[in-house]
Amino acid sequence: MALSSKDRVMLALKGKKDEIDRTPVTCANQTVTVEQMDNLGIYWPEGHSDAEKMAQLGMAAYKQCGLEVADAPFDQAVEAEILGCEVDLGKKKESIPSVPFHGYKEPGDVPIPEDFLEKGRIPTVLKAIEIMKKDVGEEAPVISHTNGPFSLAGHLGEINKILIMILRTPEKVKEFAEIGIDLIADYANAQFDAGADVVTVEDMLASTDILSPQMYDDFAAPFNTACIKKIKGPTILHVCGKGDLIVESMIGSGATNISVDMATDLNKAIPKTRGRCTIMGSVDTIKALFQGTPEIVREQVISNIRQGVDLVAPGCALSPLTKSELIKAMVNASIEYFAE
Amino acid sequence: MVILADKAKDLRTVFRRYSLEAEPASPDAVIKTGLPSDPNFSKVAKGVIDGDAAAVESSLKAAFGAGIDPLTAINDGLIAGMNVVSDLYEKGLYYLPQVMIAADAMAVGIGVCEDKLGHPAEKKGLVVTHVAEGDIHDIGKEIVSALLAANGYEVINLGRDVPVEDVVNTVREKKPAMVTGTALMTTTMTAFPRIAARLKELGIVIPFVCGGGAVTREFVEAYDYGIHGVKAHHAPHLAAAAVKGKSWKTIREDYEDITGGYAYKW
Ligand code: B12
Ligand SMILES: [Zn+2]
Repeated sequence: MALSSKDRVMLALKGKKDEIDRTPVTCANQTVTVEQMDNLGIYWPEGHSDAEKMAQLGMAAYKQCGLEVADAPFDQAVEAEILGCEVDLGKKKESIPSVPFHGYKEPGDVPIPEDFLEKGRIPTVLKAIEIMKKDVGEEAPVISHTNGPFSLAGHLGEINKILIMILRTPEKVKEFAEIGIDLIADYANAQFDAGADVVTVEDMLASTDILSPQMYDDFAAPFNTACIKKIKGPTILHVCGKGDLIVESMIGSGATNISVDMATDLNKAIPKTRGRCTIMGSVDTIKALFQGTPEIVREQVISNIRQGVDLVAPGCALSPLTKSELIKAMVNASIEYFAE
Repeated sequence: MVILADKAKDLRTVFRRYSLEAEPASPDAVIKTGLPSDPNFSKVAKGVIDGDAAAVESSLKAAFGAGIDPLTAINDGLIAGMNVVSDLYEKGLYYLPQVMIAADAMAVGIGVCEDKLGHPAEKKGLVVTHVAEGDIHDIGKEIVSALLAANGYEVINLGRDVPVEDVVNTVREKKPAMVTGTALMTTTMTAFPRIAARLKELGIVIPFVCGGGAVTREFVEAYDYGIHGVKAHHAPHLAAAAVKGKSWKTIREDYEDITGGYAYKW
């Protein structure tokens, strides 16, 4: 009996290689593209704030290209928004919401609403998860997204200011990051209640493009670990950029799976994960999936499989300008590889 | 981005911790070779390298006491220190927070020198910086702006997600020697050729240095005025060339020489 994408992804996430027919092709981050929007006639920015539209867009990569995931939300601003940060939903169909906020000076200034699960776009996200679960939940895994606590701190305090605080008033940065532990865990658990199968904790700002590995260990890792401990279902920890020097700490977070960027050396990372967690990665979102050809994408997928990833996935969020042809090529590469 | 030192406490230990433990190579060797030999200047430079605004201020005052004039202190102390910081960052021995805090200490130092001068130090030239429309990734742009300011350029920092027309209008009104753009997304870097085309329509000729994660040399050189900015610390060298009157074409061709011979990979 053929496995569903959902079963394949869930088994692979848990490291049950023997029980699956091939390496699944999924994504830890957002998957919506303009081409998918055009096909549906549903666009951003509405797709960021309307649950039905969010759900339709979240399922588009699965329905249109066979990418083994239905996901939401598509931006990093949901949590910051409920904590009083100004958010710009964008003007164009490829616009992704951002936080133009200039930052709270003190962690104590951040207002934490009692009923935050009912604030801002959280009900929208939860509703979208429910809709996706009903629609494709039997076939495809619903993977929803939250920020990591350090990334949320970066929005709350404004990242450029947080970077200076790291050296001048490190305790303050930790207090900002602490805010996220419970809040994100509660939000993630609500996503599970709404029907999510997996939650990705996206810690974009904790990238070693920004933090040194030691800073990652001081300001990102402990908060991810504390947060993930409180999350009740399977998790993926995603950190952008070159992860070589932080893979060990990422594994230590206790996440079910780690999602690494294409800048990370899989040959070094994969052996470290063995017996501790699973790993997904890392097709280049720019050189292969945006500027590349089906052939380049195929080569990368096959190389990822040979290196031993548990799941094939883009190294980060898909660019909204990614062509469906290349997403399909990514999925087909695994299907064909295992058919041979 | 001037944020004054909250505490002038033991910054040095913090720095050492983050640079030494994470990396096998030692920044000390880089610092040693980069520091000016005159102790008056080396103390100022060291303050910048350590991101220690209080040390910058006290060593500058000591230097003034020894008869050193503020302009020399800027060039041989503060800027010398910032060059070492760029070098440490380039070599992966410093990370962004260390660069930012150094730029901040530098800005404090410039203020101290200007107070002594009694007027703002004469700027070497004007540069306009921005992040492309639709893009909020501004960390690289902040560094570029800080390094330009640290090297004595006046910077109009337009911020992030800046509409094409705003960039064009600022260039038209303020007549900078150079304009820079940063884009980290494939969806937003398309603003650059539009800016270049608008400037051309208006008859404005200017070096337009475009950088940021998603940007490639190929992309940037497909439009007139475009020069691919690879590393943030190249910006002051490029600005110097622009102020000298080098054309965008020459800067594009001589990029490697102008930016100090750093390997320019494409
Ligand atoms: C930090 C980060 C964020 C932060 C940004 C915070 C901030 N205030 O900047 C947050 C979390 C908010 C964020 C949000 C998003 N991000 Co982001 N993010 C990153 C990340 C991890 C690091 C970028 C960075 O700051 N690098 C460090 C700086 C210093 O680099 P830099 O700007 O390139 O500058 C260097 C050089 O380029 C050069 N330079 C730059 N400009 C200039 C100019 C001149 C004149 C010169 C000489 C040199 C120069 O100097 C610097 C070093 O010397 C990258 C991943 C990565 N590895 O790059 C993704 C990345 C840029 N993000 C990405 C995406 C997709 C997003 C989101 C759309 C995600 C989402 N689904 O919500 C949103 C975008 C929202 C929006 N509308 O813009 C993608 C972009 C894909 C693409 N190419 O199209 C990336 C590449 C991740 C990936 N691998 O896919 N992100
Ligand atoms: Zn990423």
